[in-house]
Order: sequence, then structure tokens, then C-alpha cells
Amino acid sequence: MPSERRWGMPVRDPPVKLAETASGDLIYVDQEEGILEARGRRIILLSAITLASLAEGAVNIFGEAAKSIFYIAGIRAGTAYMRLLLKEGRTPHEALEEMKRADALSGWGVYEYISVDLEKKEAIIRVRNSINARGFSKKGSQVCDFLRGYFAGAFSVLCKEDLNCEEEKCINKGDPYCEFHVYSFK
Amino acid sequence: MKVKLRESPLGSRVLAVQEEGTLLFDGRVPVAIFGISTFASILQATYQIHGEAASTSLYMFGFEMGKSFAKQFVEENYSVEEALSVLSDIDAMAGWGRYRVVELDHENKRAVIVMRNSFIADALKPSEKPVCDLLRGYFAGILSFLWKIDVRCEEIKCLARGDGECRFEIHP
Repeated sequence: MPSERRWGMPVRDPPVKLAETASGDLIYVDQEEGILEARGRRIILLSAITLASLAEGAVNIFGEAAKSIFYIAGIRAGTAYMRLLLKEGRTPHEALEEMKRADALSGWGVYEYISVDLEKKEAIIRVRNSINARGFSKKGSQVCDFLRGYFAGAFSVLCKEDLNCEEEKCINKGDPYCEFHVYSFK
Repeated sequence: MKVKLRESPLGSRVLAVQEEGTLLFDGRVPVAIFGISTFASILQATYQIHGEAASTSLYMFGFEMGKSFAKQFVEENYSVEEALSVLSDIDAMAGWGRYRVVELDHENKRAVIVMRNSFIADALKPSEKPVCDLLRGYFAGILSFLWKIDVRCEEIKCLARGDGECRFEIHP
């Protein structure tokens, strides 16, 4: 249901049961076996706190080098997902829109493509409510290393070149949203 | 039995705030959906970068997670059996697999938990050795908190190794 505006003020869509969204027919649940599937692939639900605990725990044990774990994992995930979206016959624009739609429905946050220039191999993506940034007990630093890698991976597939991504704003350090800058090393 | 999310209790327990891109379990806990291949990539990167030390660290993350999950059950005066039963249902709902407690010895602080369809084993299979370090720590953390004494957990069988299911033994 689209948002309405009254007297210039946005009216927020009310929360709906996940069953009543597109996921209602897409996701299959086998409660006895403890299995969730979407499009024939196994999926899981993870809480923001679990994700944050994994990331914070890794940094506590391995230091800042642990951030590369999540960056590399993000690259793999973003690469695999973008390849799948293109393989299904989407144009790059359609693939980015589908990624935005599906990831929002998965609870990852809302992406806004501020600028995308595939020829210059550069993009700026703004993310509201990044699942990656929620649940951290320590505030003050950028923490969305998984999403950073995810965008690097996805745009690397689109640009056919290994790209880098930096998180220039993060809600965990007090910014109003997270913002990622994808760019070429060259 | 496999049913559409639309017909499952999970579909009603998770609320979607679509314009915010957020999901809330029971209206309050932010959650997100991940493919197990995505989760596998986090675990594989951890093992790739930190080798054997990753096994210990994942166990420790699981331990802390188990303790924090168990906390609410202690606060609400659940018995150990009740807490484990509710957690098993919630974790199955989250797609983590289905576990059951087959032995529970309060006096000697020992337990055996058997799990079908561990999402970690499924994500990392095949493997020559057990891979569910996070779950190992998770079960140890839950029972350490519920029993108020630190216990350890070993994974004796693992789906990823070709065993039919995972088997966890918990002891002091």
C-alpha cells in the first residue's frame, strides 16, 4: 500500500504480517524439520543482535582485521546474488531495483541509489535501517562491513571489474543513514 | 510438512514495515532473512582468515548468544525443560533446524541434544569434521545460564560429515 500524504506530512505504512506480503507465497516453512525455503533455496531468520554479536565478537578476538571477514563474505554474497539476477534476464537497472525490493522485504533496510554510473564504475547508495548497523553495543564507528562488501560484489558484477566500497556514513556513528561509495581501484 | 508462509504461524509472528525495510519478530525483535549460502560465506571467510582459531571464536559467540537467549527464560521462571522446548520451537521457526533433548541430567549437569537439518551443517557440508561450532557454543551457553554453572559442549556427530544428524554432548 503506497504512503499517502496529508497536509504535507508523510503517513507511514502500518506494519503488516509477513504472511500478507509477497513473501507469504514465496517462502515455505517446515516447522517440524526446522526448514525455511524461498525459491528452492534454504533461508534462515537472524536477529540484528545475533549479527551484531558475531561482528563485535570477531573484532574483540581478532581486532580490526576481523572486519575483513564480513567484507569478504559480503562480496561473495553480492556477487552471487547479482549474477543470479542477471542470469534471470534482468537489465542492470532491473537487477538493482529487484535487489532493493527483495532486500527491503528481507529486512535488510531500504536502499536509495543516489548515483549510479556504470561506465565510470561508481555508485553511491544510501541505506536506511541497515540491519548490519543495528544491535551493536559499542557506538561510534562504521560497522556495515557485510553490506560494504555486498555492494562491492554486486557492482563488480555489473561493471565487470573488481570494485572497492567504503562506508562513508553509518547510523552506528550517529549519522542519520548509512551511505556507501563504490568505486574503481583504477 | 511444508506449508506456505501465509499458512504458517511464522507468517503472523513476523511483522514487515515495508517502507522501512524492517522485519520485527513478535513485534519487537528486528530480524532479517538470509540465504544459508550468505551465512555460509560469513563462516567460510572466518575459517579462511583465522583458521583453527575461528572454531573457538564461533563457539564463544554461540556461548554468549545462548546465555543471552536463556536469560529471558530464567527471568520468567521457566524450567530448563520448558525453556529448551520453547527455544527449539523458535529456532525451528527461524529455519535453524529441529533439535530435541534426548538426555538431561540436572544433577550431573549433562545433556545430549540431537538436531536434524542444522543450518550450519547444511551451509558448510561436506566436511571431514563437525562444523556446528556456533551451535555447540549456543547450547553450552543456554545450559550454562540455566544451570548456573559453566558447561562445555562437543559435537559428536555432524550432518556435514555425513552423519544422519548432529549430536551434541554437554558436560561440565
